[in-house]
Amino acid sequence: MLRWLKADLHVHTVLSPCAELEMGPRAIVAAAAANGIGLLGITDHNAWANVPAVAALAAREGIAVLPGMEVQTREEVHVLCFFPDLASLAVVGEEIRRHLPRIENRPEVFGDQVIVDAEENILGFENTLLLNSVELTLEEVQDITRRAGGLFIPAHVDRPAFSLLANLGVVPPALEPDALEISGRVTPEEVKSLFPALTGYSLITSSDAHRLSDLATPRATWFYVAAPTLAEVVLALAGLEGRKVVIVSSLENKPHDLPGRL
Amino acid sequence: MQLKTLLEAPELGLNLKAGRSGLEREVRGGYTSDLLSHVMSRAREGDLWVTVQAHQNIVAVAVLLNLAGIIIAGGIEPQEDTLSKADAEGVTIFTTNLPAFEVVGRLYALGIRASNSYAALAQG
Repeated sequence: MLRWLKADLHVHTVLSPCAELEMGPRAIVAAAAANGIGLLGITDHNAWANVPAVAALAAREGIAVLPGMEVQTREEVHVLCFFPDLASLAVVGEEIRRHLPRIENRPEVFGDQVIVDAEENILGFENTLLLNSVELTLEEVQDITRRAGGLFIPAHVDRPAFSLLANLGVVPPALEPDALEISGRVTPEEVKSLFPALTGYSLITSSDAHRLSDLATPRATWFYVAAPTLAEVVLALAGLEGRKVVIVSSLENKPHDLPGRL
Repeated sequence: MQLKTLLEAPELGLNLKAGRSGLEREVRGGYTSDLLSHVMSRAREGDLWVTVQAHQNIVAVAVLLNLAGIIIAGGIEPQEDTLSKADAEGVTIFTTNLPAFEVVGRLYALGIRASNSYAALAQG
């Protein structure tokens, strides 16, 4: 049975140095539940170590987690990469992370990079600065992600920094993203009139939350799917087998004008 | 000034990587930025573009604006797909080990100016 599922596929944890220290797994899951999120993407900068903790806590609340990371490519473009399960995230995420330059984080400048478990015990600190570009091109990151059966979604493409369109001007011909993420500042209609090249791509919007209050967004992405899994999201982004994706105002409880309401 | 004159200028340390056919191109001015969206809206036809961005989209931008050529600075090696596309499109690409700041300074000393500098000054 297909049903509507509210998603936020771009949330940072305390592992991202730029995220607030309030972004612990418990608080994130509580905020996601309060905002009616059924599918949560945990995407720290070039790192994945806090995904298992959030996924374990989210499962107790009936919230599914897409295991992912926000990779910064050689071109300084941010991309959301998602993997089918925690095991593949651990393998491929680590492969990508290994391409970070060995520059040590300075917490007093960039912020702490905290690794925690589901009980929010501090397991350690990531010492390599995560706010950096991996030595991999966009296309290489796409290939690595796809080989693992993953999803490849360039992030906040309308923003003036760290974005596909700002840094590279147009969508490169060899790129076949599953979708493009637009920031919460614009509607899909506005973004398509600003960037006509985006016509024809599936769009999602996310909070890119670095603090808890960010999870309350003006617009949200809803998937019409059979289950909160990566395989179903792939179908929805491709518009296959009756699955679909829409961006609606958060003033609406659900995409009420479409069939299959919750 | 032609591109081949710059290639022969020892102080720039240029290596020709692609687009040999374009070496006769006249350089009318210069532009530098690593954000291709900026380049697309601000560089001018005939500009020599200095960047550290090596993605193949730099070739598309150079074709779009009919730029004189591209210098990839800072010892960065462009990807193979960037170079093959540049050869196919006839876009000249040089690399140099000099940092971008130093390359631009030396180009300026050779007499190359930003072709849109007067417009920028007029805007205050």
